[in-house]
Amino acid sequence: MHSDFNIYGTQLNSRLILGSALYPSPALMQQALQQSGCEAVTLSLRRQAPEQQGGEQFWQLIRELKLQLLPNTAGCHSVQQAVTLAQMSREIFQTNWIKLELIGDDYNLQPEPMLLLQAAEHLLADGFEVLPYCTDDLVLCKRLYELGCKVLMPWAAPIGSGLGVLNPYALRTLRERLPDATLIVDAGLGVPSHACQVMEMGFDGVLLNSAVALAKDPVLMALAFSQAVAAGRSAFLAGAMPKQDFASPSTPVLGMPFWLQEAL
Amino acid sequence: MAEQMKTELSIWLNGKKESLDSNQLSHLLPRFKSPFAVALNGCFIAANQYPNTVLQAGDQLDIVSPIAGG
Repeated sequence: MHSDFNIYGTQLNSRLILGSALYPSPALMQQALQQSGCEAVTLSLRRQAPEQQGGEQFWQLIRELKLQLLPNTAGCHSVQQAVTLAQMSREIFQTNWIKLELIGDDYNLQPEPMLLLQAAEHLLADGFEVLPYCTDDLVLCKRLYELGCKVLMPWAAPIGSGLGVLNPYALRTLRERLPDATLIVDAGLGVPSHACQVMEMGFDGVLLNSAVALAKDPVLMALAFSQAVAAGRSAFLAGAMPKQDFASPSTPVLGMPFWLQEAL
Repeated sequence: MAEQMKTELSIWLNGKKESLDSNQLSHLLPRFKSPFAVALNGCFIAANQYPNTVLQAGDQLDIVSPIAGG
């Protein structure tokens, strides 16, 4: 089936993007990614410790999956850190995609909006295809989009919280006000119904990690999320019925037995 | 090629103090496994610049490799 979902021109059939961290084992990570049907995966860079061999195994497993790689700048607190990490990522992963994370608060890992704009401008000028991890603030998202970020990744809730959509109004507003932007909800989703909810709103995709990796059965949860994302997308395309505050019988009233048309 | 200097200098390598007997970045790199990328004092050093990069005392050198991420 043709997909109209793309990230900076790269077409993806799955609207679910998964992270590669926190799985009980590398093998389960690989199985979960495969089961989800996702075609893009997030990953990162850290200082190489020659005594630790785990990094090599991870890289080998990821390469076997032949997915689109979406490197992040997780943990960065300054524009310089984020730009340098992005440049190192581009060299290693051979992609212009960068999930731009610039943290402004260590307690809830909330993005730093002003620095995010500066870093995005710098990276776009340097040829990157920037996917900023941002809050659901309309003005911030508008500024990022105007800078040239064609893909925005607003949070639903703080990273790893699993709380689901904390501000449905803000997310709905983003969708309505930025109809041409590719909007991927990133962070804070806990269960598949959360993913379905944002897809029903018309979001283009969902990025998550903890909700799958920390499930009792990550492989089964990966399948559940992929089904939820697909269901939500279909529902959005189908168009939901209008809400009303009163009941309306679905079974025809005409021909109902046991009542009389005229009073006795 | 950068000018070679046989001397001992102390730098910060991946956050730890380390004494080197060469100031050539390219002499240090064979101990690391590919793929990796390099930043010197917080700035990216592209692979094609390794042969031209000279280290100085007190430099902060970061050598990073792929890991899992969300």
